[in-house]
Amino acid sequence: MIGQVLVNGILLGGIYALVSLGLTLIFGVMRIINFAHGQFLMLAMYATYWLFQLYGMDPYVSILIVVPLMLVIGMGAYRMIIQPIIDASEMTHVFATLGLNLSLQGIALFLWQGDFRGIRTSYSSLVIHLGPLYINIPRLIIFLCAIAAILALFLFLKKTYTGKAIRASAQKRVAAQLMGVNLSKIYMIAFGIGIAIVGLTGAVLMPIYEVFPSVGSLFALVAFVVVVLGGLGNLGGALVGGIVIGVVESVSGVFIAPALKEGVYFIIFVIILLLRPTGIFGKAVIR
Amino acid sequence: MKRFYFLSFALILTILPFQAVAQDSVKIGCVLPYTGALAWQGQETFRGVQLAAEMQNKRGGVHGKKIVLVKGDSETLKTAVTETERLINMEGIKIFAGWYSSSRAKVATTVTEKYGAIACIVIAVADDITERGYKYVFQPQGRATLWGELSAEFVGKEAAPKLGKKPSDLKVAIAYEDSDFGTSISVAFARKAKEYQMNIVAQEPYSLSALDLSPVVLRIKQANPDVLALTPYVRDGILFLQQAKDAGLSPKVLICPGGPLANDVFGEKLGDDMNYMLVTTCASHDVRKEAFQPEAWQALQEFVERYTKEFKKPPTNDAYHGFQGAWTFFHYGLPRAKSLTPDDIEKSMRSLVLKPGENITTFGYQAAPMGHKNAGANLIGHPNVFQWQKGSIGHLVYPKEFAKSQLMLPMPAWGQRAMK
Amino acid sequence: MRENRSMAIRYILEEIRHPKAYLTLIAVGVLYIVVLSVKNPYWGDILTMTFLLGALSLSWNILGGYGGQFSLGHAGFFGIGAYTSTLLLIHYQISPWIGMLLGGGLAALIGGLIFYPCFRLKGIFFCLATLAFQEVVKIAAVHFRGLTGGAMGISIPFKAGLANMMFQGKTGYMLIALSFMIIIALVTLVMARSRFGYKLVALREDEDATETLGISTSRCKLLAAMISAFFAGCLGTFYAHYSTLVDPYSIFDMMLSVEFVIFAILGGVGTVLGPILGAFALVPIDALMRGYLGQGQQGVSFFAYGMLLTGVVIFLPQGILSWISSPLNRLMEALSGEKTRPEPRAGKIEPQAERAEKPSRSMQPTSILEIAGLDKSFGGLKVIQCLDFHVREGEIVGLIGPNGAGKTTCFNLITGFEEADAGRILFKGEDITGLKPPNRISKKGVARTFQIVKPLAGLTVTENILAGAAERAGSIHEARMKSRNIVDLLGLWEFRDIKASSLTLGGRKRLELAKALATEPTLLLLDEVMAGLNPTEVEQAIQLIKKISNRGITLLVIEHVMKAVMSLADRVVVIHHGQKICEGRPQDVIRDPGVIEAYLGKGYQYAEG
Repeated sequence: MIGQVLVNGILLGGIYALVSLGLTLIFGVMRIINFAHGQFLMLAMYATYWLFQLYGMDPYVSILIVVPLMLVIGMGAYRMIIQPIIDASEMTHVFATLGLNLSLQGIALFLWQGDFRGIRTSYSSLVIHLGPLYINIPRLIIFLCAIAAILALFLFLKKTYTGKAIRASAQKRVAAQLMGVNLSKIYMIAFGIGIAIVGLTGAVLMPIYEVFPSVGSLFALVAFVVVVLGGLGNLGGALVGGIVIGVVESVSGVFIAPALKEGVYFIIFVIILLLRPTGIFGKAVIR
Repeated sequence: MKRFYFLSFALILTILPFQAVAQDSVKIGCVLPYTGALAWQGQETFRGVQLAAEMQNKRGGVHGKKIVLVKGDSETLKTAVTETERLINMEGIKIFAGWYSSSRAKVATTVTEKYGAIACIVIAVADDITERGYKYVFQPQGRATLWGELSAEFVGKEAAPKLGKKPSDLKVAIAYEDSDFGTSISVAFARKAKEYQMNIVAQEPYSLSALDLSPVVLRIKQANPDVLALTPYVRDGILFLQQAKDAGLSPKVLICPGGPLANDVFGEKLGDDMNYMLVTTCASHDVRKEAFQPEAWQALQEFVERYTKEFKKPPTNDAYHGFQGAWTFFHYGLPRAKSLTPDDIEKSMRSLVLKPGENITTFGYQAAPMGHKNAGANLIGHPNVFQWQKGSIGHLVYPKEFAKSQLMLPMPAWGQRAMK
Repeated sequence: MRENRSMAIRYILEEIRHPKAYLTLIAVGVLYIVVLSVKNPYWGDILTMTFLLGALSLSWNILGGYGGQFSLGHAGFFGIGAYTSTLLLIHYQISPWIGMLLGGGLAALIGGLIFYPCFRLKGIFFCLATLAFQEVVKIAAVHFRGLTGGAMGISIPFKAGLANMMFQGKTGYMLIALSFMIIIALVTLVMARSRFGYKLVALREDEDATETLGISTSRCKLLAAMISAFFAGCLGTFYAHYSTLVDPYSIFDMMLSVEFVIFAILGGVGTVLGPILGAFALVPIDALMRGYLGQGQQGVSFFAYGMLLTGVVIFLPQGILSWISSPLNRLMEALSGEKTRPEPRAGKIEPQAERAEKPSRSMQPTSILEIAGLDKSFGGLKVIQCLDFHVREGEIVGLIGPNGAGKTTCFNLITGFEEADAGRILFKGEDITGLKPPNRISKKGVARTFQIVKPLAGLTVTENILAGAAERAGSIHEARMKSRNIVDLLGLWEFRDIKASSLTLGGRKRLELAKALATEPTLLLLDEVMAGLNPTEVEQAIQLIKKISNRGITLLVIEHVMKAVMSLADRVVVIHHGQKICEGRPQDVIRDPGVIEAYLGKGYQYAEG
């Protein structure tokens, strides 16, 4: 059974990693902790739901629409809310994004009410067997998406001009500006990319989860834990952190008590914060 | 210009009288969670209550007055209290039906009792609602204890033989969401199961906001039970069943002693895999006509017809509950009262006795007298057990006198549950 | 002592005559009258919740607004208080009034234990930790069903009576809630005007600068956290008796924690009125909306809160209060016929008599500061190597050297902001090497200014200096007297009520000096005070420093402006690559070839200086 527990934990970790990726990217580049992160996830899930409901579009296909949509929404949110306060204190960021969080939830509640909605696909429960172990396909796909997204990001940051500009801005703002980098444009793009990744996450989560206005908060809370654990701004750290939390949750759920598993990782979270706030991998750098 | 103003002024004057609530009506407060996490359930319950009111109004209302439902939103505990108070103090309402969840019902009835207002708890199952010796609180449908106990009884008496086992041979696992709803029902189930000497091999509460229930599934799977008593809410129920399917957890009997598994959404999500699962609720669904008195049967049919016509689908579990509780109140309790004061209504509800079949429920009605541990509860309010068959939950299998369908057990493995 | 007390009484009497005070008393009186006249229980409920949430917001404000530590998990304390008193009542029949104090005490204890280590965390991390704290408490409350009744919670049987904190109508509840709110507001007010209050807001503005003033920032934060948690816990008991049911999902609600933070932000954090204003503005509207909007209400409510929060944070960061403060002030002035608050009269505590010259030095002047064999590396770079020098009592010693020589690092080592790899630092004969945190060194009598000045930006000049004086003064009045003297000494009287952030560079430098002086140091370290000043200002600064030295304070001065070094220093120490390369009288040192080479490079050694 321990094998299955680990497998479940790792797959769960993939979900957590994918959810956290955008959050850690945004922080790494512009030092903003986006308290509205979960709500963007919620929006992406609703978008996927409605595309399925109205046009019968398979969630994996809807990635093609949801990701660009969230990219645009992310950039828009940056322009309207983040940019005016980019140089303000951390607390200002926290509460401004918290306000955005509440507003988005309010809009969702008003439009779609509080009850949850789900989609049904033929492959939601598809499972492959490896010996005594079973692996749920949609969860595996999420895990692979997490890895793919990280690799894609790495390549993007290393190889493209925009990517390099983003890295430069992350490391030395003034110097980058002196080099001719349009800082606000770069930040806007980076923010947009972070939210676009959230878009991908929302789409691939729909086969196995229901959406309702406060679903974002559930995921976001874990995302914060993962991001701190892996090191803010550290992409690989998001993956490792996600897997660690997933495994911890799974193991403590089975061997301690299911009702306490969230409590376990919160306690770990506080311990990490106290002992090593820079996370497993240390300083925040966009590599 | 002037003429326009006068015209509109006159128009408004003519409309105004219609806005005023007619003198010949009685306001009844209906406090339910219309928003928030339980919004869907609250709205469905309201539909039931509303249809009961409309149907009774068609039959002449109560004491010649039309029933007018006034809504209050019990989204959270705090608002349940505030809204109840608002209706009592701002709208002068002394008759209530509603609240939905047990904790909301509990705190709100503290308020109604303080003001001496009549509270008919349309659906809310916790025992301790009626354990406070309140005079004006009535609970026409079953209590958690009864739901949990009856489910265990059902497993022992009906399910066990189908598996060819004695109750004491059965291995039983219990899983539930850890709020008051799941806990109270499961605790009662466990108690009764022990009386039948069943072996409880796992008892797993979990947080209903969990993103992953596979630990619960794995722990239960390891205990290898014959019977699983699962009391989730809807969302976590779906997640649990899907992950149970992934893991291949397939007990021979799966029963939900609490009701949520009767939601159509499960059928939509899991299709034929829902077949063979059992759910305990009070709804009078799929019942034998012969077991009812004609008048009650007619009322039941009318409800189903109206609901189906207006909402384009068969009534949901919650709608049934709302209707049943309200109908007992609007059709039997209120008209029999000497007047519409709380005291007279109380006397009426206290003395009302309905045998099974006389009411639209499969159980009758008999209020526990003052001094009883659960004063105001329905002493004979027991729930029914339904089974998912052919992709629909509407198959009553117990009590047998009311049942049209046959109980089918044991439950096959996942993917093999299609029924012709 | 007697003088202090009579001064205090006079002070209070003067304060009460001020419009701010009597208007407040009138407002409070009006509130009580309103409470007693409200008969409709619906309104009674709204008012009770308004007062309760206002009180909660005020409690949070002590740690969050004044202390700058934004906790998002304060509902945790609320719940701990509620559960504690309820369990004590149910199991041991302990009166809720006593249970309330015990619950508050437990909340304070837990708050102290858990928040204290978390104070190390900066900003956002602290927020996240408090969030996690609340979640863990909630999960625990749900899981340990035997103790807490689990998800079903604990009911308190209704029994009317003051002893049981339960009432038939709403009036009793309203009175208690209002009184709580007033009490906490009063406590906040008293705290804000006390030495502790000034220390607290100082550390909110700049922790390092505050450490330099000899103030233990961690102890202040701890005290603020415990007071804040205590009140939140007490309010929990009230709520338990108001709602008759304590259950984890309602009471450890994240939205609740955020709600009363929003009130404080909306009204104005760090003020007494702010949280009250915020609560009064939002709570009734929210309740009314719920009653009459029905279906879409929750969405609208969330949306409105969200927009308000974002809007306030971006456009009106000081909250509504800042908006209405100028018209309010004008009203005050009109009513009282005088501008701003009455100043404390000059008291009996005399400034040290000015001396025309330096006091003659004793034969064997003692060494105030001794540096021996100091080493410090950052990564692979050795910034200080084997540094030795000393400073004698009453001297002005100039510390000069080219950029990057290690001068500021040297200061950081002395004052405890960095830790030396090797070597010793002795202050007044006592080994202070490696002493942490910095406030411990500052308390011993070492003050410093920073190269990049660190004013406590959000505070006025007077408040800045008060923070400096707060640690040593025996009472707030003594602190005010001392601040007044410093303000006069440094010519800051006309700026006394201006926010530090509005000062020019020259003004800020003077303020930096003033703050340092307020701590009554024995040794004062000045880090490039002259940088950025024009020639007039330089001359003023030189005179100022001479005045300071005449008071008997020993000075160690890092400077690049040679004019200042020449006119001030008794002795000069030259550092290059972290080592002392020369020492002596100013006129001798600047002619030293080694020194010239260090500054200008080879080839200039023989240029005439």
